[in-house]
Amino acid sequence: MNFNSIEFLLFIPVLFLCLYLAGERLRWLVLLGGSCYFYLALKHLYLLTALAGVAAVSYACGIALYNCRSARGKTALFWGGVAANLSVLIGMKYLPFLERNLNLLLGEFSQLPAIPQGRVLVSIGVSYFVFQAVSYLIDIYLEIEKPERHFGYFALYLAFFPKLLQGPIERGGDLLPQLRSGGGFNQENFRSGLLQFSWGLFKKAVVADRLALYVDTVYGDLHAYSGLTLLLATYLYALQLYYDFSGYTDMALGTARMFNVRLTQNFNAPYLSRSIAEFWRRWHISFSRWILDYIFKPLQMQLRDWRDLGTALALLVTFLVSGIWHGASWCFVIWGGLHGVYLAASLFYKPLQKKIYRKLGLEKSRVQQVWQTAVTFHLVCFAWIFFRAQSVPDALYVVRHLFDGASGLTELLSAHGDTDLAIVACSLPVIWLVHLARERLAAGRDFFAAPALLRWGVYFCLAAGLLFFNMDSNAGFIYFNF
Amino acid sequence: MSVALKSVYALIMLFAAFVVIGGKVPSFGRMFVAAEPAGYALGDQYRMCELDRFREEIPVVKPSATAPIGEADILTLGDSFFNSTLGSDLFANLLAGKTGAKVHNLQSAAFFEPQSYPLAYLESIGYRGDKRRILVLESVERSVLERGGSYNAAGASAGNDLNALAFKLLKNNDVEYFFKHNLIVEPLGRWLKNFRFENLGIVDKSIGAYSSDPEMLFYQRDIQFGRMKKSEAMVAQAADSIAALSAALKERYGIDLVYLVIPDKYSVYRALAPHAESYDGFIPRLCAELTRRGVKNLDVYSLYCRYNKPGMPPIYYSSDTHYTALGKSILVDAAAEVLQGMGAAHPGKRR
Repeated sequence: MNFNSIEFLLFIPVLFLCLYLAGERLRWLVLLGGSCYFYLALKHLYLLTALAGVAAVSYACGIALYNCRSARGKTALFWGGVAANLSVLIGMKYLPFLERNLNLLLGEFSQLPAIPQGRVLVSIGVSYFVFQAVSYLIDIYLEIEKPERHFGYFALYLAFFPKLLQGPIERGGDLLPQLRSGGGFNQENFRSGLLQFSWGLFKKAVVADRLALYVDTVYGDLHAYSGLTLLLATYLYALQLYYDFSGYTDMALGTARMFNVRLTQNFNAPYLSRSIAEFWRRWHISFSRWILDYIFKPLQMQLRDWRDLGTALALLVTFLVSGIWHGASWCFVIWGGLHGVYLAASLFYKPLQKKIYRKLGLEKSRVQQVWQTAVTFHLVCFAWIFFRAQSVPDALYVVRHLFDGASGLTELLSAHGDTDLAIVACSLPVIWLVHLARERLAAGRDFFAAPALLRWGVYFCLAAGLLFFNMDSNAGFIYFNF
Repeated sequence: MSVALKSVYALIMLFAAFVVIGGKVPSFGRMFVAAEPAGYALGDQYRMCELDRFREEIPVVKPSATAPIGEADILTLGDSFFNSTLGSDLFANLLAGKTGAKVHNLQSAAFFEPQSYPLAYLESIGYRGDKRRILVLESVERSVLERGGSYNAAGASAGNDLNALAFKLLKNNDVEYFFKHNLIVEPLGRWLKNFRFENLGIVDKSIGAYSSDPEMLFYQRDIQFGRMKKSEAMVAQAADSIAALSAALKERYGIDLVYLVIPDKYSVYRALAPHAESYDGFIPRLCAELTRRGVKNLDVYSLYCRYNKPGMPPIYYSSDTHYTALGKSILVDAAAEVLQGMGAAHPGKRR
């Protein structure tokens, strides 16, 4: 079920009605049932089976881990649980990719018969709940958290519908207490949640889907375009991806808030980052924290004797894993690898960079900030080429033709009418203004305490924007694929 | 929380429940949906965009029954084009009238897309190759490549596996339809769509392009397919699949296949769409490949192009994806000629 569908807009009030009828004691059951229905609405029964399997294994492993007294037994249980969860992810998401590549290798170097190709399964949401389950087991293994004893709450922790399909990836310690606390209908949470949801919908339905028109036209037929057109499409894709994903996150956070749950903030103006490291502290924050805590840090500890080289290697491996997590294709591996290389290289050139800025007298100046932001944005955009392209040859075509004239530009701009261009052009500054306003609100000011005229002005503009300028496309979210 | 606010929340919840019940219980829902027009239909593309400017009343004909399958000389199987009664009777009945042969139109509500899985479908109905027959298999252009992959595969009848059951239980098209078309939302939605179109030039996304003079709507999926690059390898692969189907039909059931691809409206009338690129010749290319593989076919694109001249009546409805009575009759005439060449037509017995 898409957040931007009529189905979902009806699902929420019906769920509230069920909660009202069932009462506070059965809140977990209603939310769990609603989450299962939400997931089943994707019309792939095996997804729910996978979720139930991961929930059962992780729940049992979590309790067994906590009760186990021997170190060896604990280690065996822990790795057993992690392996079982990861096998679900690998089986559903990576097997066809592995089979394809193994067959290529077999065909190249041996006469062995090809491995038969299995059925390609839809794996929406699987990587998110598997990562949550793994983090839950790690936290119990490291004695950071205690296991959840109530299976219903534990299953709800994995399945809670606002974050089921696309995150944020929540830790048990953050989410489980909130699911337990309930608290009944809270008017304040409901209206802030609704406002955040509507804002996310605006970003998705008005801006991201409109940007997709241009991006899809170019990336769907790359060889008809070159130079400036490819460059423009890549910049627009960077914006599309951000507004699509952050729009989804706002909708997820808003929905959860309506049910008195605060999820992790996933974005913080990532394109204003002044380094790739900062970018990863601002982009898909819950995922970055996950790979940092559970992949990078343990690896860095293992390789600490190699000093900077060890850290660089740990970064490279971490971001290769991040690439593979995003999808079973070489494009994602290269995308992750690029970010790994950016970060690893920065370890070595940072001292030199400092020296250069000092020599030029630019240290801590506005020029330095703008320059660093621009360079970071372009490095990120360069990597997005591999993220968006459908194959490595396609991505390489874009890279080779980035500065090669501007063929197809006029056709691209005229193909979708002036209205779309004007709406995108007007929406971007609006989003920027809202971002600034939200930063101020985060600093302690309450929007709902503002004068009624201002509040109702905002509601009216948001509603009008959604009604008059939405794309009606009901398009899926990009990160569903991961 | 004030009583007024509580009432608003209660109303929203009740309205949502009303929509779900109205969608899932048709006898209840029908009481709150605007009545369907009698004697005519509104175009499927009009229903997508609901723009008053493109509204046209399309006459609907009550279909007469096709010949029983056991008696038929010719079988027809296709998508909505072969099942359309807009403007004139079913293609199968017109073909019977033209050729004098007995024609049965294969259709099924219990089998998922029989036109995509002809072999599996024939098997599922226990079809016996008791006499030599001709199967006229039709596909709309935008679905040919996709169906190329399924023609020789096993099909799935609705309800024979858990996924299909889950799909049936969970599909909410009925609820969505009731939400959009109930007496409260429908007029608001239509006003909004017309307001957006007249003042901002925004059209529903399912309409990829439109022309105002003459009025014509184009389906987004048709445009996407039209713009997609179709390599020689893709065309050859589709032709291989159709040829394999043809061989299997002959071998298993003694059926001779005639394959028809009906062009998307966008392919024929693309000159009316703004910024349209020239046609990539997909249908003629596929037909050439099919002929090379010995599969009987009809190049409907080239046929329709001959009738697409200024001053001639349209082959497609302006607000619908399907052909007009003229488009259907042109196709019937051409198909009858092909069938005559195969010895299936009995001109003397024309109805």
